[in-house]
Amino acid sequence: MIYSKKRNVLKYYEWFLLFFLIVAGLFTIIWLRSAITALEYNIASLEERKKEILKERKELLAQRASLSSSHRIYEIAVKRQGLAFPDRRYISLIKRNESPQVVSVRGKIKLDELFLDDFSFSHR
Amino acid sequence: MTKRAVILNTVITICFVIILFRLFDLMIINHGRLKARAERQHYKRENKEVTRGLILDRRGRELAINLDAESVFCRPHEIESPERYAKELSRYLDKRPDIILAKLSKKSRFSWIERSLSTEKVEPLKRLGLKGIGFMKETKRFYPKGFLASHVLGFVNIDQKGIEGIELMYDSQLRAVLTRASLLRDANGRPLSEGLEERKGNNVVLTIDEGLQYIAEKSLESSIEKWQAEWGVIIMMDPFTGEILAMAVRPTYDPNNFKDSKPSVRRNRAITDTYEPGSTFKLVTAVAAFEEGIVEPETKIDCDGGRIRIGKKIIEDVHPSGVLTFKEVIGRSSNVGTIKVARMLGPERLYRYIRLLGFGSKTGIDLPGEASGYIKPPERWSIQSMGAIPIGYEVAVTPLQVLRAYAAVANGGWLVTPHVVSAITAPDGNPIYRFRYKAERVFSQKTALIIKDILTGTVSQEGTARLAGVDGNSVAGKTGTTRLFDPVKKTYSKDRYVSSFVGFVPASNPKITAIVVIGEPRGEYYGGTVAAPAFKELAEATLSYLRIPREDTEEGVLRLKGHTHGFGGINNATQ
Repeated sequence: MIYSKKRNVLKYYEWFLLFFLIVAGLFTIIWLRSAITALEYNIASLEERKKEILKERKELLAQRASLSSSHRIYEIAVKRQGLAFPDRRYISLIKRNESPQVVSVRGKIKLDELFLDDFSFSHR
Repeated sequence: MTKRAVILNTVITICFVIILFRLFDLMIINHGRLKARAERQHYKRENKEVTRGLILDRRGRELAINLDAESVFCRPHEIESPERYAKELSRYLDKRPDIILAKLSKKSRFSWIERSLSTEKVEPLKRLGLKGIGFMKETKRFYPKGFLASHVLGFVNIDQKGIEGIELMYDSQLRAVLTRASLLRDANGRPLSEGLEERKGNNVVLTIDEGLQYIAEKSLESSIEKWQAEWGVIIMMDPFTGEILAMAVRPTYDPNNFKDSKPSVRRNRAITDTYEPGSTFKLVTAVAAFEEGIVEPETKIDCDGGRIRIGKKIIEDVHPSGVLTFKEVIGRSSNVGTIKVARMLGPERLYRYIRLLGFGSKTGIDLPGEASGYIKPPERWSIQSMGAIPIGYEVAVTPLQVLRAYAAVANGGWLVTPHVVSAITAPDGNPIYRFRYKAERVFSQKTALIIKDILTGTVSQEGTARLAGVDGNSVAGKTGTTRLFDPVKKTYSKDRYVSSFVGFVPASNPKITAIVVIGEPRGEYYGGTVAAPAFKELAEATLSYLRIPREDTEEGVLRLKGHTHGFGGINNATQ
């Protein structure tokens, strides 16, 4: 009799446990699904943001390419800054010297005409 | 009570049975149809964003890029009040209401209203929330350098399909394949994560250098302006590899607004138009004569006082001469001397060398619309042809063909294949294709050296092209002046000329070879007066840009470390 009562109690708990597990399982599935959906919304909004940034990047790239055009640089340098395109008569191209401590210039231009203050000499 | 319970039980049972039937209907009978319907609601098929590849210059500077844009379309059958919509839309779009109304009233189910608008312009339209009006994301091609190299780059149409230039020639590489993808949406149509996979086309890297292109365009522009010429061409090429470093054409257009220009302006005259090259064509006679052993540089030619009769025609020299060496014949551009040497060669041999130097056939440049020019076969030559062809008349050539022939002199006798694309890279930057230069030996190095020497003399103080001379470096080249043929009068015009100069610099170790062709200049017309100074300007700026040292100074030994002197001056100076 006692055994039978105990068994009924166990059976009751077993049913309760089963019901609880099913409900908990269902809730877990629903929660997981909604969490994933929320995450997808977050990702979607981040993607939108990324798209905006990429668009901005494209526009900046276009702006950089336009601003760095040779025509524009020439116009600014010559017309606004008063600079001149190098005249080959006054340019002497010079070569790196393999032997250290030797500093000399040969050619049309004298050393003092090279605005030496503007240059640094390396003495390797 | 029992009776009520029975009724209740029965009702509940019936309800359950109905539910079971409905479930059976939903899950078994109509499962497929309903599943498809649900998928249609949750998944939206959309075109994935595709972006055309970039076009870069040889140093990686962007010449053609993409910008985001949006297009506005309508579904006319959904629009209830087209007149109101037309008025509303015209406020935001720069279009007349009647034009918009015509699109809104179409019988079709879809019609574009405006394509490739900036997203800023579309935003206020979206906020209106007009039913039947839709928006589609697209990309828009943008050429940040404007007019620069427009004839090389070409342009695309509204559907991003290449129409001209590189855009057309390499369209299959630049274009990304349009794909459709299923994107997940919620019940309200809000998008869930769809990924940011952007399909990009391959990038095309050109041999063109933006700096050199600008120098070429500037030189051409100033020359056209100075001589009030109708058109002009400058091409700059590496004589050893055939890489086109610059290709400038006037008149020109802005590829961003290509519709504003006439088709004739958009034509790349450097390769599509032919002209009679005049004295620059004397090169062929010189090459043939040396290769065939007909003459030596010092062989004396009697120029008969600068007059020669060919059939019924008398051909004269600009500077009449008596006896000249063959070197002087070319240097002074004597028509009589050249014709006499050509006669020694005969039509067959002359024709063979014309073809050997690439005239009458396409150069193979990777740009669309190249003309092959026209050279009559010897059997069709008239009596006058033997007097006209050696001095560059009765032949139709492109400026690029002439340049290629002179490049063969510069590089020691090799006919190179000109090209404007050096590589094609994947969107991630990995190279897919690299151009391998092709060259074919067409005459001996000995002949090339002799002609190089003669052409250097042409640019000396005694030559016809002294104005092409560059301070500090030797230049080799040849001038050309031709009268334009008037197809109406069927005779050569007396006031319409084509002036040209083609040459290379430094003559001893050529780095660039270039041609300047000025069409219909006013005032002066000789190649030595009109085109040669443009070459000088071009060569001086180019040599500075490429940091090619002067030949008249000894090698300097001053060591500098990364400094700039003035605008575009010494930077990391090397010799």
